[in-house]
Amino acid sequence: MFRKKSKIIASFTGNKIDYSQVNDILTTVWTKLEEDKLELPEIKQIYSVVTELVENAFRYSCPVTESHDCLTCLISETGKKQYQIVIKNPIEVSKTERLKDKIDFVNSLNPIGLKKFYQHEIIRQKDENHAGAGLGLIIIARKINEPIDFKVELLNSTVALVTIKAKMKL
Amino acid sequence: MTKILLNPTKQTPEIDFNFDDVCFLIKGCSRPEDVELFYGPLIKKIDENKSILIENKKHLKIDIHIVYFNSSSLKFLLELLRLCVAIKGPDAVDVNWIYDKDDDDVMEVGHEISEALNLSFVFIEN
Repeated sequence: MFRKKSKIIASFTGNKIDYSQVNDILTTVWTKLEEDKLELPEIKQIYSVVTELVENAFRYSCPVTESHDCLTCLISETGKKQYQIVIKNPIEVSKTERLKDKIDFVNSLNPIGLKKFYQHEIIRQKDENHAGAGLGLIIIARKINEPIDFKVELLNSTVALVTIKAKMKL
Repeated sequence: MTKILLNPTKQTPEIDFNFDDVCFLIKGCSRPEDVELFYGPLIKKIDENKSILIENKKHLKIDIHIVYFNSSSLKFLLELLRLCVAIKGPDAVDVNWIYDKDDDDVMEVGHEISEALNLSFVFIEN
């Protein structure tokens, strides 16, 4: 039995990611999906998920030792109209539990629950102090067909490497 | 003439806020590097010039033609619309939500924002 090899659409590895690199990844994703003749709604579905994940890595990664290239983004086509986005980035250990709770919560919701929760989150004033799931995670969950996969590995006592994987079938 | 004009970039939308004509336009892609730095001054400027909007009895017309926006932009867009509604009143704000043909995603987001704000939008397919 043969298994189709994944096709890499965009990838990045480094110690940190800057905004021009975020733009490069997103431009590459959009261009390659257009070249693959996907419909605009399909391109935007993938692009939204990639944007939320890569921008999160840009905003929330914490610095690690210069020699440690632990931030990686990999966007690939894993089958016919099947895509996988994997982002690994270092974050403070103290933030991992809350992130896990948020992901577990959005994973527990069905599409109707996700829609209600999305409505709740956009109504909420942006400066209200609360501990709800991030709007970005809700948007990702609404656009993919499987639960968001989440894994934590400790790099040292203060930094953990978080891997978030989103699989989608169009 | 009180206006805010910002040219579009690949990451930020075109902004054309004409306070004297009570017409606002937001058009393009919105995923700024620092969303607060982009939308914060716009929201501040609307607040500073609210007297112009209040004194003019014409409805405030807001054309929103967004091709793509990230989650952080969405929160600020909501805040901007809330402020406009607070200044003019819900009956005097006319939002035209313009979306590209076949872009059901942007259309759906418009419906969800309209519902969240309890404000009727006019939906226009481009």
